[in-house]
Formats: sequence, C-alpha cells, structure tokens
Amino acid sequence: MTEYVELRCHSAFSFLDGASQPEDLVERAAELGYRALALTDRDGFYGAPRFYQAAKRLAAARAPEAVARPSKKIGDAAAGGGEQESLKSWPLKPILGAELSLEGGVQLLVLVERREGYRNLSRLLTQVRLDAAGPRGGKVAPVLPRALLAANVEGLVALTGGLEGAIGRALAAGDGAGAELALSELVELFGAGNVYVELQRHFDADEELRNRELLRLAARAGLPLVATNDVRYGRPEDHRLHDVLTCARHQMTVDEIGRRLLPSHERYLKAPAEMAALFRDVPEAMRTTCAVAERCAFTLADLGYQFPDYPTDGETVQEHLERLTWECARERFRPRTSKGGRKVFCLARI
Amino acid sequence: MLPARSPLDLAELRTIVQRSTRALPFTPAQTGLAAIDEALGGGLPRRRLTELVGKRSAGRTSFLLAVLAAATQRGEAVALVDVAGMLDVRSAAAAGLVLERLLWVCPRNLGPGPEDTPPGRQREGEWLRRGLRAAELILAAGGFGLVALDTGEGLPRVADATWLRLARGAERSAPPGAVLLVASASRAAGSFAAVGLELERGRVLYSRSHASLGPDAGEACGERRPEGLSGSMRVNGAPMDVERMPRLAAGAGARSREAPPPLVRGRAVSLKVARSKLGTPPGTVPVTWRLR
Amino acid sequence: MRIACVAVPELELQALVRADPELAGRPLAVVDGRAGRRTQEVTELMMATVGAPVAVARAGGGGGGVATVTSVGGRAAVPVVARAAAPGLVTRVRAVSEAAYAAGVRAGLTVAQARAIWPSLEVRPADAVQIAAARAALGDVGLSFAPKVEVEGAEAFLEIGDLGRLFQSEREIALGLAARARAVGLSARVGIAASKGLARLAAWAGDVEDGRPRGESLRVVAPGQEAAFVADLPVALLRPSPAVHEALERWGIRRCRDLGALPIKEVALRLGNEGERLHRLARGQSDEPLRAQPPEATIEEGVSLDFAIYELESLAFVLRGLLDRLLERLQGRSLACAALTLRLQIEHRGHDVREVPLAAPTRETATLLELVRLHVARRPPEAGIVGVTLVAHPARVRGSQLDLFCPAGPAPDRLAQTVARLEALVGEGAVGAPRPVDTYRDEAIAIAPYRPPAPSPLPPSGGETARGREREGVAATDVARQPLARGPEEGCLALRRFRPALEVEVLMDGGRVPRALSGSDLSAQVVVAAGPYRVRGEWWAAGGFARDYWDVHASDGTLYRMFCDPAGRWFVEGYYD
Repeated sequence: MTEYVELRCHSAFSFLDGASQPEDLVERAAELGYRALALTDRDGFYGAPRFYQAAKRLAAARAPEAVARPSKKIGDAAAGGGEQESLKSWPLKPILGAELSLEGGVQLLVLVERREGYRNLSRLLTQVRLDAAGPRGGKVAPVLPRALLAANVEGLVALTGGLEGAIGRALAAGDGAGAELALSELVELFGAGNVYVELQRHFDADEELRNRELLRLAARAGLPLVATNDVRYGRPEDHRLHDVLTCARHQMTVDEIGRRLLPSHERYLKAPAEMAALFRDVPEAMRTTCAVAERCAFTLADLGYQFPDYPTDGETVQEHLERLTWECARERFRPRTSKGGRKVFCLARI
Repeated sequence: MLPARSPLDLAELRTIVQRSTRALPFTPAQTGLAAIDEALGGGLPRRRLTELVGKRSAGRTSFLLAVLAAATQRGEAVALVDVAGMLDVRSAAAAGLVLERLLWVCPRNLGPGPEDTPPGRQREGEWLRRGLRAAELILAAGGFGLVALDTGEGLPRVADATWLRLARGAERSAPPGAVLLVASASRAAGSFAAVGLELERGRVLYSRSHASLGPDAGEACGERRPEGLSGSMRVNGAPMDVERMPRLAAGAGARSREAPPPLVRGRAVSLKVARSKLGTPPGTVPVTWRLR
Repeated sequence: MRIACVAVPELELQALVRADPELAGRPLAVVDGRAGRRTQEVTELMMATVGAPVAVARAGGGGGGVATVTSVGGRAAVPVVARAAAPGLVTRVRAVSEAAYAAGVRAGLTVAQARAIWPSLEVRPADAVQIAAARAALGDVGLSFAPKVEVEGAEAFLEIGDLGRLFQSEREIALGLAARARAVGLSARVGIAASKGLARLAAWAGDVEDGRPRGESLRVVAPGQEAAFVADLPVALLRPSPAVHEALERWGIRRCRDLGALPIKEVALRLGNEGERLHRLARGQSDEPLRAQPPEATIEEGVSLDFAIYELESLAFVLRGLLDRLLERLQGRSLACAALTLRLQIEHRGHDVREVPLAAPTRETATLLELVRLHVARRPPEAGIVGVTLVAHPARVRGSQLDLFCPAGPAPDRLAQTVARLEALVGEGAVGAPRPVDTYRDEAIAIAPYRPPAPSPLPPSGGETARGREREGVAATDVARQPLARGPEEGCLALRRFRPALEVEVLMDGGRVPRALSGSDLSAQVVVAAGPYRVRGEWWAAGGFARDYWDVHASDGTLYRMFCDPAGRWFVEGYYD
C-alpha cells in the first residue's frame, strides 16, 4: 500500500485560511491511514496543543497502555523520553511546522525536525509577532526579516512551496534564473540536506507548468522532491466553508469574490492512493513525504522541563550532588551520625 | 478674437503639417512582429484592405490580436468587428491589447438583440451582412488606426460591391489612415485586397518532456476525418473504429515510469505574403504562438 | 440694455400644429383640454341640437350637466340646452387657426357652434404636455442665443447686448431668432427694444387684424426711437387690466401718445400703480427687469393620441416626430442626447417608463429612432399606447484637443454617432470596449462604453524614430532592417471561442482520457489530450459550475479546448488559433 504524509496543512488557526479544526484534521488523516501529519499554520503554532492532544487521544483510543505517562528521571538527556519512545507506536505522529511570511509577501514552510528547531521557530514567531504589534494595540501583517531567519534555522527543514513561495513566484513570472537563485539562497540558508523541492498538483495548467520547472531545478541542484497537497480543509465538502472564509478575509460577498477564490476544490486531505495517482510520474516525491515525517522526530511530547546544564568536571550530575552533599555534611556534622545516613537516603530518593 | 474652430479643422491642420514634414502621413502599421513587418515592407498598409486567410488553428486569431495589440500600444484606437463572437478577453489581454482602445462590435447578438432572423446559414449571412456594414460605419467615422473584420467560421459570401465599398472606405479614412484587415477561413475579398496573407499550420508545441508533434499529426497517422465511431457513439450515421487511433502521448500506458501529463505550450505556423498589389515580394515567415 | 422678445401668437394652436404638422393650414379649433374622445362625444351630441332652439330634457340619472350656448357665429344668441358628459362641462373654442378664422370661427364659441359654421373644422383639445413642450421649445430658442432667458406665457425674453460681436445688426439677430423658432416648429414674432416691456410691444405691434396679430413679424426699435415707436400704438397693446382699459376708453384715450401726454401724477392718482406703469411704457420708458430662469435639466416632448397604437410602425411614426422636435431643440442649445427616457401611456394601465441607454451622446434622429424602436420591440407594451413622451437627458458634445504628434483618435462627436449607429445595427450590449469579468467562467465578457483614453504623448512609433535617425545621418532603411537579426517570431497563442460552446460527443479511453470527439461541425480523433484542468465555483448560485478542461490536439490538426460538465456532457469551448 502506498504511504503518504501530508506536510503542508492549514487548520482553522490560520486565520480565515483554513477551514478545519486540528482535531478534525487528525481524525480524517487517521481515517485515511496517514502515519503522520504536519500542522503548518500561518505564522503561528496556535493549533499545536490541540493537534497534539488530538493525536494523543487517538493513540489512547487505539492502544490505551501506549500513552501511559512514564516516570521521569532527573538528568535524563532527553527528558520525556518515555513518551517519546511510546510515540513510535502512536498511529499518527503530529509534526509541527509553520508557514512563515517573509519579505516581499512570499511564504516559506518550515517543519520542526529537532528540539532545537522548535526553540528556533518559537523564537522566530515570537519576534515576528512582537514586531507586528503596532502602536495602541494595532497589528500589522507579520513579516519575518531574512537576517532573523538566517540566525535561527538550526533544527528546521524547509519546503520550497507552491505559488506563494519565492521560487513559485519567480517561476510564475517566467523568471527561471530568479527561481534558481531563490532556491540556491534557500539551500545556503538551511543546508543542502534540509531543503525539499515541493510539488503540488491541483489540476491546474499553470501549476503543472511550474512543476516541470521545479523538477528541472531539483534535478540540477540535486535536491529531493516532496509532494504536498497544500491542505486547507479536511474533507472535500469543507471547501464551501473555506470559500466563505476567503470571502470574509477579503471582506467581500460571494458574488464579488470572483477569482480570489481557489479555482478548484482539491485542497482536502487526499487518500494516499489518490495522491499516488496524481504523482505517478514522480513516485519519489511520495516516498520523500514519509522520509521527512520520519526525520521530524520532535513533537510536543518532548516539551518536558529540562534542567539547565551545570558544569560538573566529568561527573554525572547525580555524582556531583552526592559528593557535594557528603562534603558539606562532613563539615556540618563532624561525627558521623545517623542523620547523615538519612540524608544519603534522602538524596537517593530525589 | 479667433473664431471658434471645430476639432475637425485641427485634424486637417495636422494632416497638412504632417505632409509638409516629409514624413509620410500613412506610414505602414507595424504588426509588432519584426520579421513579418520586414516581409510586408514595414507593416500592414494603411488605407488598404489586407486579407488574412487561415483555417482552424492556423493562427488567424493570434495574428489578429497581435496586430491589434501593437496598434493599441502605439496609442491608436482600433476596432474589431467580430462576426462570430470569437473574442476571448483573457487572450486579448495576454496578447497585450489595451482593451480600452478596442471597439468591439459583435453582430452576432449575444444578449437580446434586434428582431429575429431566420435560423442556420441565413442567420450567419445576416451576421456577416451586419458585420460588413459595421466595418463600413467605423471606417467612415475616421480616427481608427486599424479596423479588423473577422468573418467567423464559415465561408464568407459577400458581393463584390460590398468589398469595393469597404476598400473605398479604407482609402478615404481620415488620418492616421485605417488598416482594414479582413480575417477569414478562406479567401473572400479576392482582388479587392491590396495584400493577401495566408497562414499555414505548423507543429504543436508541448512541454519539454514531450516531443512536439508534426503539423497535422492526425493526418499523418490516419485519416483526415474518422470513418466512424464504435460503441454507443455514432456520428454522421457511421460507427468509428477507435483502434485505428494513433497512440502517441499521455495514457499510452508505459509501465516502467509514466511520462508526466502533456501540456500544450503553443503552436508554430507560417505566414505567407501570398499576393500584394503594393510591390511587396512574396515571402514566408515562421511564427511561433505560445500560450501565456 | 437690449432685450429681444420672441412671442408666439396662439401658442396652444401652434403647439398642436407643431406636434402634428399635417394640421398646418387647415381650419382648426383648439378647445378646452380634457380627454379628446369625450369631447368628441359631446360635440356630436350637440351637433344635432345646434342651429335650432331645441331644449333637450335632462336624461334621468345620467349625471349630465346643462349648459347654455350664448352665441353662434356672431349671430344673435340662441339659447341652447345641451347635455354634456360631465357636470358643467361645455367645451369652448379657445383658439382658431387662420383658415378657421377666415371661415368665421371665433374663440369663445362652443364646439357645436363652431362646427355648425364650418363642418369640416378640425377640433382638437388643448394638450397640456404639448403646450408645455412648445413653451419649453420657445425657451430653447432663447437659450440658443443667450444664456439668460425668461419665458412668460407665450413670450420669451432674452438679453442680446452681447451678441453684437456675432451678428452684424440687431435685425439679423431678430431674423436668427425667427428662423430658430421656425426650426422648432413655432412661428414667432420678434421684437427688439431697450427694455422688456418695449420689446414685448415691438413683438406684438403691427400686422393686426381685428385685434388678432397675423403671422410672423420682426421689429427692431432703435435706441432713442422708443417714444416715437410707442406713440402710435393702441393702448390695448399695453395690456391694461379690464378696469383700467375701460377707464381709458371712457377718457377717450386710444393711442399711447394720448396716455403719455397725460400728467403722470394725475394718472397715478386715478389709476394707481398700474396706471403709472402703463404711463411710463406709453412714453417709451420701461425698466421691467429680466427674470431669467435656469434652463431645464431635461428636454421633454410628448403627445397624447386620439387612438390607441398597437403596431410598432405606427409608434415609430409618432416617435420620429417627437425625436425630430427633441433633437432640433438640443441642436439649438448645442447639446446632444446622452440618455433617453421613453414614457408610454398604456391603455387602462398607466405608464410604462423605459430608459433607453445610449453608448454615447448623439443628435441623429435615425439612430435614436432605431434604438428606441429596438427597445420597444424587445419588450412590447401589454396594451395599446395612448400617449408617448420622450425625455432627453442632454449632455455637452465633447470637444477634444488633438495632439500633433500622437495618433489622432476618432473625433468624439463622430465616434458617438458611430457607436450609436452600430448599436442600432447590431443591438445593445454588443458594442464597446470589452473587459474581462472577475470570474472563473472564462467565456464571460463585459462591455464598457467605448471611450478610448488619450494616447500617451510619446508613442514608440517606428515613423518617429526613423525620422530621428534620419536627422542623425542614418538612412531610414537601415533602421527598418535592424529587427531582422531576431529569430523566428513569437507571439501569444490566442483562444478562439465558440459562442455558445459547441456540444460534442466524446469517446473516453479507459474512462480517463478523451480519444475521439464528434459534433455538428467537427469530428476527429484525439492525438494528444492534455488535462484535466479543474475549475469549480459559484456553488452558492443555482448549482454553480464545475468543469474539467482538456486541451486536445485533434486529428483534423486543430487544437481544441473542451470541457466536461458534472453531468458528463462535453463542450468544445473553442480552439487555439
């Protein structure tokens, strides 16, 4: 059976540009047999907790013991590792990501690969939102400066995007050289292994034309291809809600909205077989989706509190603490008493 | 005090000034396609009837829109008498036509229209008659740089006297002098055209991954018209043999790795200066029309 | 100050003749206005009774009125009791034409009496709409010469002091005014003098027969000649009120000279303000101010018909007359018709008001007539038409400044006429500048009024550059050859549409890809099919639309663009050409 993971998916938390709640998306994805799903809302993480909880509930419903909260140990390098371990057995892995608005109105999709990526992305989003808060509580459209992005790319994976991406934009304008330049910039920023050339197919001639160029660019740059469906709603019939939301975003009635709506109603979560049929000429793009999902190991389960590192001269933190305790105890309770013994016992309990 | 003058006087004055500055008042209208201009000796002749003939998909409309676009970009007012209502506004805009400068007249009434005319061929004849009359009116109005008349799909049957009137209308058109361009599926204006252009179909261009096919691949591979249809479909009373169809591209069922679906990108045609009363030597220019 | 007075004798009558030129020269009487046919019934009833002193008993319950006819044709009054259709209504002749007057018909008679005198007398009710139109037309006559015009009753006054530059003499102005009035269908008397009152006197003076001014006249009272001019006029021409007139008669004052000779104080004492005013006028010193009225925003011409019209041709005949008069008035004011409102009075159904949009302002009768005709033909009224009114919304004819170095566009007025003619030829909504519509239904096309923008001042014209190079010493031919270096020419492939899309049958390959198509005008196998391209939308409106587009290279060598609708029907939208 073909496997496919949707890596570009808006929830309703992309304000007026997504028609489904994270829970619905998770439910639908599970129905379709997805092993993972990325939630990539616009300039934000807002949907992440509900997305994670939905995935967790799903896992609990399928196999209750898998989600039992394990005990944690101090100093464990990957705190929450227990849940992390158990996630492997979750039916649907909730991957985190976001669509970032860059200068010039282009979008960039990043997925969180590692914990550090999460930290970086959080920092980026926080900064963008702070910058976007105008005077007297007003807001301007968030724009992420390139320099800020460049300083915070560690642990993130980038997808080139469709028409809204820098490369798609250049291709639509017939600027092949510009597209190549944009792609090489992206590779420079994220590193060769962390950039995927994204193909979308919504039965659109212009889009398909761009795909041809993208195929050529990817081959020349030696970059992997990845298929996405740029999902805006879970089920096909939800397109109506999305159309209405689009009208609301443009503050227009359905009669005025015209070509601002999407021309086709294809941006739902598609079954892997359906996607495979669409991308039958580039099967590797389908395979890559699973590889990317595999790569993006980080989930909100990794968010357990981690103690700050403490310089310990080669000992473990536990040894260090025990040693310090004994040293102090010796000083305070010169004669060895039963109290000191109790402290050792106490320490062991921590 | 100067007596009030009408704009017409100024137009006359302008003509006089133009004549006196040695620049011919009726420089040919450039088509925007340099090689064609070259073959035409500078462009389409003003105050003359030029006939453009091309069958389906031979680039008649593309050429028409290109010429109209070039004229509107020069700032001229142009008119298109569109007998069959074939104009695709998006194509026109893509061709660079400044739509505000285009006077579109569609004798085939699209909405509720003049009183009913008989159906079928007769009705088409009526559209054509109205179209010819409209072209005459526009020429008489003056001030248009280009008046194009597209006679539609059918074979235009027009009396010689009508062509003569049209040609005269063009000759008398006020400055800048109108190019009268008549585009049809077959020759119609005959000897009333000062220049006759003929279009020939060339290859169809596909996206990179597809070999472009010959001028009339269908004709090369089989018959010009299918002999009939099989199954439930019957056309012209006869069944068609589907198996004899050429299998050239998508859906050909390659097992190993399917080719990406084909994309039509454009069409190559050749434009022939077939006849000219203006001393233009005959010649052929290849043109590629690309989808934008 | 020089004031011209354009006076229309028998305005009610002239209004009728103006609306129906066939009446000109015929014996005609205008009667009190009411619905025409009712008047006629009454007339016929009375025809039977007139001539002999017959008393007609009041018909029971008929609601009829009784009226007495006091005089017939100057003979001794014969008391006649007539039955009228409405209480107290007897229609009296208000004005008569020259021919009728010559025959002895006089104003004040009842219709029956008049008919008795002249049986073939045309009797028409005064038509308020027509009279208003005639009065407005009179105003337009003035407006075509001066901006400030006062219309009072059947007279129009205008200040002509500034017209000296355009006309050689005041007589020419007077001639011009009379000609203009004739053009709008009125025969007018023109007087020019130093003041409003004197101008009125000048207009009405002379050519009087039995106290009835005859025909047209022109009179210019030169400055300084006012007193001499007025002196010989009868005082009745000063229009004194009946009481004052009677007093003057009693005093034996017949001519203005006599009145002017009286001491002003005494006249004022005995005849009050009016006497003082008349006295001043009689001495040639009047200074009544001109109360100019703003010109009307719309120009209206109407007619109510005696018989209901059911056919388009008859309506067209009526419309032509209305349009002629309308356009003549517009012409006089250098205006064109920018929009037209047609008000049809429908039998038993009130009014049917229609706006006839015009692509551009025009002044051509044929064009406007054709447009109105088409408009009515498209939506014929439900019943007979008993009244027609046309209202023109005028607009200035655009002038434009031409640029010596830009391509000259079409002259605005000629363009306007041409567009209107084209619309009349091919129908509304098929002439203009096309615009794309903001929808995924690509066949949609919007038509905007054709108003080509002025060309940019520096067109990249080949002629211009060639000339420039010539000055620099480069042969023009070299410039022309330069573009040769470029390779095969490229342009934009256009779609040629079928309107409406052609329905075809399509044979699918494995239910997926079209393999053959056949329709009424085409039949071919598919060589290459590219697609599908999916377009969906407008689901909120009546089913919306959903199409799967294909670009199809067919065996006949044509590149078709076709689509399949959700019902599985196929249409060829057009071909790439």
